[in-house]
Amino acid sequence: MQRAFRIQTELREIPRLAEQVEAFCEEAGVSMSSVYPINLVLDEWLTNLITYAFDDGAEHTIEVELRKADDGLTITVTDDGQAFNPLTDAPEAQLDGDIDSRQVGGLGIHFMKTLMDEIDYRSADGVNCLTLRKQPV
Amino acid sequence: MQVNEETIDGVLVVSPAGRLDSNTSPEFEAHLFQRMEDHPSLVIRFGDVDYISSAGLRVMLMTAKKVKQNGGRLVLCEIGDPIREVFEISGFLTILEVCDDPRGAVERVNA
Repeated sequence: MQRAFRIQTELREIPRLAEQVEAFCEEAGVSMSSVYPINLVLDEWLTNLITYAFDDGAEHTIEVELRKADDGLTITVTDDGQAFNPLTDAPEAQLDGDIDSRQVGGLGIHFMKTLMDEIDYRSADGVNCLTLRKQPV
Repeated sequence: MQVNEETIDGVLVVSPAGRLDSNTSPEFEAHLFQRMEDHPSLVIRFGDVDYISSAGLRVMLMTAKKVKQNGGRLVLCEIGDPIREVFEISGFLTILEVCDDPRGAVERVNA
């Protein structure tokens, strides 16, 4: 079972998408305990994209595709903004230190690495594609 | 976003409701910073929060830094799953003070 969603580059699209993702997961038989991590990782990635990747004033869209198979769930996010490889371009999240020294930067990518089983990022000809896999769901 | 408040034994207990994400967190941060002008210590109750992202965690960290500067105390309470897991994998449960229920949180502030 698979479904694709096209969203505008505005933060208010994220809660709307989260509802659609939850509905898809329910129909596709994805366990409800997987829905929060899936929506969290999508939210963090989309928030990054929408905040940083589209600063040329042109109109852009982002496509999110979910595919559920027996071996797990595959999430693909395709955009035409500035490339940013979460595996190589992101600073390591700082997970220790006291209140004074702690920073929040990098937590979104840390969630992605912690909650997903596979991460792949490709960028070619102005199109960027993030593929995440979670198994079993 | 909706934010409910009550005062228990002189301590302000703030209860945000719904989602704490990149849409709602700036407004919640402004609300908390305004409250901190009159309340050096705060309890934040998560019982009505059904979603938090790193944007919401950032607000908690900024609030904790400010409360510390003010010489007050911040205690969080009623953090249920799956929100607790987000705090956990962020390493936040070790730096923020967390209590089961609002009354216990207020007792810690007043201790």
